Amino acid sequence: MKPELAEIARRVLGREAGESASPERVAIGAANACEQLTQHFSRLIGRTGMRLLFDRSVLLARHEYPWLPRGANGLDDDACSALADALAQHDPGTATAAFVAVWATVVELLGRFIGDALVARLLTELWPEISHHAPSSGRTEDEP
Amino acid sequence: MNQRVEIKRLPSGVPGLDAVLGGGLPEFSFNLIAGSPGAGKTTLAHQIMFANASAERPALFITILGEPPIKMLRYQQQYSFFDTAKVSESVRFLHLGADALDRGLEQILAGIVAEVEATRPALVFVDSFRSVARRSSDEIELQSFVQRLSLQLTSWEATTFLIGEYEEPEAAGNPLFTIADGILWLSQQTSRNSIVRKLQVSKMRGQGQVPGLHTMKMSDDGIRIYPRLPNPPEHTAVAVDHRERRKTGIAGLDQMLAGGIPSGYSVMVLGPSGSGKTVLTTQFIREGIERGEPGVIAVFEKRPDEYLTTAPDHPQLTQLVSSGMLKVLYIRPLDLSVDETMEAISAAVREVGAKRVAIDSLSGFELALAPSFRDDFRESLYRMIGGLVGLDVTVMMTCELVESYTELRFSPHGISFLTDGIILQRYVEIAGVLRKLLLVAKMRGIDHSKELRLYDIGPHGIEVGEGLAEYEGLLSGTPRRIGHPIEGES
Repeated sequence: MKPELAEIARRVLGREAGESASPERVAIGAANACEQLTQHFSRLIGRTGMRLLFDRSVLLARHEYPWLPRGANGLDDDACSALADALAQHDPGTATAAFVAVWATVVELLGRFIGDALVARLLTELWPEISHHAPSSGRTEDEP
Repeated sequence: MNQRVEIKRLPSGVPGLDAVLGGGLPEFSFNLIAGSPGAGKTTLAHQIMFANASAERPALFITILGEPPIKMLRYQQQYSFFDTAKVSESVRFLHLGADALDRGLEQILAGIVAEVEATRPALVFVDSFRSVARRSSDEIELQSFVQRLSLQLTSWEATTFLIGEYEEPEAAGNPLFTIADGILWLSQQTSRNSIVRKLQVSKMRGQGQVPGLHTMKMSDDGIRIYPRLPNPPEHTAVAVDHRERRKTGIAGLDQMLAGGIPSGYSVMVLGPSGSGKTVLTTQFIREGIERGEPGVIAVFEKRPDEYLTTAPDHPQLTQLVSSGMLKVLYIRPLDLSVDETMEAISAAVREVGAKRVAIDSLSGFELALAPSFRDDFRESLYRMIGGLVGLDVTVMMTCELVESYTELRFSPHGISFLTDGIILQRYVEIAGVLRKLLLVAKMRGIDHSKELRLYDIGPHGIEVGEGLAEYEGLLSGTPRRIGHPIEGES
């Protein structure tokens, strides 16, 4: 996970959940951030493509947060709700870290496929005040 | 009072395509980009879109099945025309997906119209429309759908492009092909190991497109069209007396030509391997440059650096290239087309303001052509020579001729009639020595020498020597002195 993307994910969640976040507020903010991201990018790459990337990101994040819910064959319409429900069961710090792991990985995967510049543009449309820093391009050397 | 509506034409953004279309893409037209898989349909659509999309003229690219959009976007970004800065600003992508198809044509139409009403695009692309058309097995339903789609998009003043995988036989009776204002066919022709891409504008309402199959090439910059060369215009009847004479740089040859080659003529230099065809053309080009007439040499067998270092007086040639008076073109891409060659030579002629062009050699040129173009070599050459002469240049072409002493041939392709002049080089044995002979076999409208003259190739090129009036049977390869019977003959 790229640190700059993790930072953007934290700021997006902060905006959606509010600064004094309770577990419930983190869950609601995560659901909002997840929904907006998937809907916005679904217009571009289709719902199926977006859901598959999301599901893969959850699977990768499960190495660290095994309690994250697996998507139902990657085509689950309620994947964001399921994520939010799972986050609500944990303290805000852990929930935030798990959300950041999933969200930043989705964005990173999107960047690998359609380019960081395009992803940055689309993120800026959603969160203009937050994602004005384009994710750095390409795969980092220490990544598999 | 002339109240005819004026149709604005949009530039396609594809080099060469506007000329083929008859000026550009008619605004508000309803077009189909059709062709087989891999023909370049989506790339063509993207190139047109990015060339035209702006804040005032936004574009909407709708994908339905076909190539997954995540991959389409990934690959299309590799082309230089893909402008990420335009995405979401003036270019919007919308993926309707398979579930839209499940809801039927009415819902697809409603989905497209809703998006068009919301975003008011001036350009709409639907990729792949074939998947939409397959949704309906009822021809009437499909016709109604296409008609309403066309009307809806036209009423919103959108220029529309439907992209679909179609083969030519499918066009007959297909309502889409009837309703479309414009049809661009993309195809790939396979011949032996070569594949050549072609584009055909089979329909473009309201304007005169250039008929025929045009060569299409794809590179990192996207698609480029090489319009099919037209037949040469009627030869402008300029009397030979009114044409300037282009000196060849070979005093003896200029003498044989009664002063030089008339300007605007095409001349073929024929001869066997090693006879000095390249030397002659190089001298012709150099002589022109010395007289302030820039030149272009198109080589098909050697690379320019190799060509320059093997030519006589090569340091001076290299200097001429540096000075901008000479352009040496190496045209040897895979599966070359005549139209592409003409485009390259024309560009070079314009660049240096050339008055003389040498093509070395036609044999190499023919070899460089894709096999499917070789079949039409004579016709293509006819159009190319016409095109070159139309540029107001004097053209000299070399052509390898396998020596035959049983017949007098002027070209291996039966193309000698295409040119205004023919200079023939031959080997001959005289007194046990292999000598070279030169003959001006043809030079339209010129009272040229009919002599066979000896020549040698020295450090400064070709030097034409004396005629061989005292010999006969020179073209048979075994001449004899007139009045000196062969030993044994009475």
